Amino acid sequence: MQFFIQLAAGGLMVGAIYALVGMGYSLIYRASGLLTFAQGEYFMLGAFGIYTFFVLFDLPYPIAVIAVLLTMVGVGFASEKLLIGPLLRRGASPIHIVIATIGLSIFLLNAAMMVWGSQGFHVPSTLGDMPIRIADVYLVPQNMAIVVIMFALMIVLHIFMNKSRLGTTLRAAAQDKMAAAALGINVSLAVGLTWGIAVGLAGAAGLLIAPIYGVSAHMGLLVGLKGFAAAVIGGYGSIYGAVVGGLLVGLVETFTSGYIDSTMKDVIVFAFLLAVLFFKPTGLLANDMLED
Amino acid sequence: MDTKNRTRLFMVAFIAALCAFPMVVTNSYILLIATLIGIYIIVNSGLDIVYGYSGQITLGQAGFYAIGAYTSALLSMHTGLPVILCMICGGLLASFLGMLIAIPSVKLVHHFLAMVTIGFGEIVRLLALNGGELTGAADGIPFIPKLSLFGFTFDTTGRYFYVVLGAVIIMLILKQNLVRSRIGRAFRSVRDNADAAAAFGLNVRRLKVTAFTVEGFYGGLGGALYAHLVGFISPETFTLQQSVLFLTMVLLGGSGNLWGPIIGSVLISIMFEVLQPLGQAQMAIYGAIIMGVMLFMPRGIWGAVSTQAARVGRRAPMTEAEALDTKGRS
Amino acid sequence: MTLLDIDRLTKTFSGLRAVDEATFCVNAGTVHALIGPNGAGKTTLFGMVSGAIRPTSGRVVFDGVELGNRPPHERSLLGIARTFQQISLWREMSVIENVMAGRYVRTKAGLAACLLGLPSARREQRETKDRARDILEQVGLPERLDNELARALSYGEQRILEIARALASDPKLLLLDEPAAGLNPTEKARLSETIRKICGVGVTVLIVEHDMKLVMGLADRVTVLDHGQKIAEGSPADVQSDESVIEAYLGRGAT
Repeated sequence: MQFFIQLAAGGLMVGAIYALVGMGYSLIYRASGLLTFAQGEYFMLGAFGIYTFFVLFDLPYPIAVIAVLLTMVGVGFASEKLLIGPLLRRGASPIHIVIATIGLSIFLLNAAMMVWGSQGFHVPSTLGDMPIRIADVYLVPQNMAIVVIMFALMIVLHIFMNKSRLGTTLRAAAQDKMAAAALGINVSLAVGLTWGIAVGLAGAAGLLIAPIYGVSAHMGLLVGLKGFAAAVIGGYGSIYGAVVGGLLVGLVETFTSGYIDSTMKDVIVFAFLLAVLFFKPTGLLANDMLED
Repeated sequence: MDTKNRTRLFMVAFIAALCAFPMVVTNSYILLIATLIGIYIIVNSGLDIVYGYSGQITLGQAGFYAIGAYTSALLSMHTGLPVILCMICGGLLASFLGMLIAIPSVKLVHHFLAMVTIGFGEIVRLLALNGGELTGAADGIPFIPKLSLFGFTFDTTGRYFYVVLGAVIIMLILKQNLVRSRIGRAFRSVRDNADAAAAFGLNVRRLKVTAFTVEGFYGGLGGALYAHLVGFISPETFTLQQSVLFLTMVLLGGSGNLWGPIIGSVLISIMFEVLQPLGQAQMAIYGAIIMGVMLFMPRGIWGAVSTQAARVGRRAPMTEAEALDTKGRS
Repeated sequence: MTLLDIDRLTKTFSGLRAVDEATFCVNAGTVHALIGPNGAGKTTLFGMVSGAIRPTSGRVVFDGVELGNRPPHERSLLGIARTFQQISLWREMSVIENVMAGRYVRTKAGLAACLLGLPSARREQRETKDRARDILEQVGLPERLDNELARALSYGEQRILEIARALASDPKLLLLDEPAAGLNPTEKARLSETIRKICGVGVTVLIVEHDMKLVMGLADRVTVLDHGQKIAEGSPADVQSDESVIEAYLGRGAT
């Protein structure tokens, strides 16, 4: 029983990461109706970001975090302005855009290897590496922080998108570009910002996970896939859905690891994703529950 | 029609030149590259049918490539079947599995479909990697027998070049037959406007599955040809990276036509050799090429070239007289 | 003889009745027009006949067969063809290929025959091409345009190509959805004549149109919809002078 709880706790924590990345996918879909392949690589860049600012440049942790987040938002904004926006203006079909983001993810992955090298790097945790014991379950502080931050971000994002002026502006631009422009909204800025936020989320996930799993150029591939699975399973386009989906994926992964075989975990997650895609592509959760 | 005969003449001359190639070029490494290019042309032409003609995104080519390679290798080593039949079985099995996977998948589009095709390719690779004694796992399968036909063994690259050349010609003729036929038109109507296609009686899903089924054979045959050329296969060859490379070839060369996949296969293969010393930067360059092609040349090189040619021979719009002249016709 | 029987056809979209118990018949060999102010439900009704939209209630009976929920490709086989409000040509295919592709349901060469280029497939291909050429001639698109890509044609030419494509399956009933939208007067006159000619060779035409002049000069019978309901029906002259029709149009402002 204790094993079960330990696994469940682990699953939720790993799931929080997928939820963060998945939220980014859903946000981009909400903002532009587009699908992107590059979230995993942005996650990886976030991790390299904290390594660079915190370890290489030796900046204080809070400053390093802010630096990473600002950089990632900037990268997201730039991605939209330099690649996605021009493609849309040329009337590119959705397939072309998906392929372009595939190209982007390949480019980012290999560019990262060129810049930092293909080995793994270590980032120390500011919360300490010793697990804390809570009622017979061992939890690593960094992991717990991730879960808390993920939920906090989810709520912040919800409030921001629905209650703040800027957020409402972004949603308006996403829903109807022409109407938004007619109302004086700077659509170009709004779309760019939305991408910035989505990429920032992935980057945040990366910087949070770095102390636990280390940093390497290939870390984004699987996480990107599982983040996408999270978004799909919860209902693509829904922020809450991505959270539910992410936690679910995390649980499936750790339970497979614990009860079956850890080498099978990725295959099982992938099979789960395929099953959802084949049988319920709109996601496991009823859509009206998740209107946000 | 004179253009048709001129094209035929050109083709014959071109093929004759290719036949002379191994006699003129004796460097076995260059011959190997050229033979591989031929194999890639076959795989990419199949990919073109799915992407260029039926408009579906697919990143699972390496999966078909692997199925063909492993099937042919294993059949040739464990049964008494002649290699040529093993190759065909490789193609058929890849085709069949492609059909099976396509059936539940074709209702998905874009990113979702891409994910499924990636999953397919990866699952095939993982099965090969974890296949234990049967597939040789990570060590792969060495000593794959050479192809022999009518007592003649194709044990040098130079000789094998002709086999591949022959296969390319046959597969391209089949492709041209298909794309010019009613099914080829049906593919393109699904690509251009699937809703209208459905309104005109086309079973869109069945057509999409058919496209994948055909691609499977092309990919599988390519894989089989590869296995008996190189004599050794391992899961490392059949990665997602390979699938992406194939797609890059079709994107760069141009999709939805005969020459695009050919041009793309040649260019990227040459680029691959030339850029080898750059190591990591190579894949980054391919990523940049993909983005660049999507931004600036979505129809690929061949597409850009033919659009220019069409512009040169612009025709005049229908005149008013022609517009009003409906009298005295059927 | 009644070719198409619309019987209390209704479509509700989240509480809104787009089509409300519409009932009328289309006789074989005639041009029947469906008119009404914007939002009257004409395109929705069309969609229910073509199979793109499922009725909430009511029946569509075509040539004695109740269509029920049959998908569009089955209706195609039965003999219903349509054009679309937005041009839906296959833009990357040539003019003649568009028409040939429109004939898909009447052809049957299978995968093997197509791949191998068997004589049966080749023969069918020639027949399809000949029939396509005939149809193109019928609608007045000259041979020199045959190999042009559909997207290279002018707007007016594309509209005509849409009709040619619809004719390719040898339909008994042709549904034309605002075929005159965006055409200049010369093109409209030509369209009118082409439709008359099509009807002359035995194809029944059900046309949704806003251009009153075109409709009145072309149609044998007119049905008027407003707010999803049939408000009038009869010959063009009858309908033109019907008070409820005038009110529906004027009351709504300009059409």
